[in-house]
Amino acid sequence: MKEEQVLNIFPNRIRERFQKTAKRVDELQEIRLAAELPVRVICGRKELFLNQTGELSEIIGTDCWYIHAGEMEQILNHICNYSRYAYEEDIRRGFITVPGGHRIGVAGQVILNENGTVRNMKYIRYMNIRISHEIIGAADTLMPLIHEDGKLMNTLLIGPPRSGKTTMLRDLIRQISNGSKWARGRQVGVIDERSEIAGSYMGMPGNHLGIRTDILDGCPKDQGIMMLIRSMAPEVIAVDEIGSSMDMQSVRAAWQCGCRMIATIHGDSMEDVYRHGIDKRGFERYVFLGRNGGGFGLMEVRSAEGEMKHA
Amino acid sequence: MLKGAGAVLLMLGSCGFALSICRERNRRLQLLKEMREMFRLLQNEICYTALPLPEILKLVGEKVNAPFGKALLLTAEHMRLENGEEFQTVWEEKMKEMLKETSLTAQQKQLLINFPECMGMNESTGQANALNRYIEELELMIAVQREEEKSKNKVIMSLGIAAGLFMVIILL
Repeated sequence: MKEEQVLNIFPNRIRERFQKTAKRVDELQEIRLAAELPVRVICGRKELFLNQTGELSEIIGTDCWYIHAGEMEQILNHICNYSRYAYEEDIRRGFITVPGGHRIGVAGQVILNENGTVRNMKYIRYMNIRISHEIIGAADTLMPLIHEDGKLMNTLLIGPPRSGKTTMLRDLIRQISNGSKWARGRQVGVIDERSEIAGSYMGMPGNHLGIRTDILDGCPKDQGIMMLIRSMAPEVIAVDEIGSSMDMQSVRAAWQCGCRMIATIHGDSMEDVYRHGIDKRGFERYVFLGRNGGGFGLMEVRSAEGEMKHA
Repeated sequence: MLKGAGAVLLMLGSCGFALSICRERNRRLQLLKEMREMFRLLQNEICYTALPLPEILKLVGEKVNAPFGKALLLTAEHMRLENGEEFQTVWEEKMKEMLKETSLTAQQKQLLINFPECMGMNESTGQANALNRYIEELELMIAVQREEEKSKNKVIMSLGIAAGLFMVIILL
């Protein structure tokens, strides 16, 4: 299924070359494309190069595939269902989400509005295909650490890029929504600004987020939090990658409305967290994630008072 | 008596033949108008809903009469299969299949097959403008067809009557 989703990203004439890469979908993290440069595949912790016949190699060989700008255009058109106009907003934001929640980051020449804001992008010559990995049970170890007497603690997941924050958040949402031995099932509202958590495609989630979860797809976090509170009465709100002052204002508003909050943020220390303007006593659990062997893992969990709950 | 009946039948036959040619030409104009309607609907959907093409083709396919409506639905269905085929290929295949049963000229058929060339704009307004230019080209084709119809239908009918009279004179 997931292998098929990866292959579906590419049009027919290019698809063949990704057959062997797609077979390694479980350890596949990124496929990086740049016009007239070698195609790179990040598998586990290794960077591999794709050759003309679709084989992966650790060195740049003579038969290495240097993807042409025209081939990248074909891929982009295919990803956009030959309807680029429909993905105008996504391209402006710099990424497109495809079925399965896989996110395709794009870069090229930016077109600006008169007021200096980004209007669109042309000559897209760089793509980063990030493969979404749904791991059922990823949050099993974390669940007891973020509950106290059946009460869910406001939790912030902290980690550098590719440390598994979104994967952990996704499974937390699923378990909180369905209910577990640590607490009853709760009504969860998810603001999925980049369609990465639920992997929604045309409104239908591609990942399992539980039976009591409402998803606001493609909505900015600061607006989405209030929209969900007004319309869907969530007990818990989950958001990915908070960081702006606007996001924090909305998080505080959610707390004032009595909602519990589960969020993620980029960083690897408490200093990073404070730098983003997070209140010291705002969240009750700070969960640090990081690279752990071949994959990602839970590094430590602290309470708001700094007490170590897990190391 | 028999000769008179034969003469009438000959005249009716040749006029009927001429009339069927004219009808076929009228049908061609009708098809072009339906084609214009289809692209106007596509343009509106792109402007107001900005849905991806497979969705729009399905929506418009349900509103437009056969043969275009059916061809749009088949194209949309094929695109949803996600078998990696390019839109140009799918469109060409489905349209060529449908065009077999129509009386459009080679030039008119080519215009329809070339439709994917005007797709691929980054913004919905730009895409709608590109479609507008395509529709203008279609309008021009309709105007030419209408003019041709007016003048040539008269000639065809006259020739039909003349041919009937000629056969009556020769055979009877």
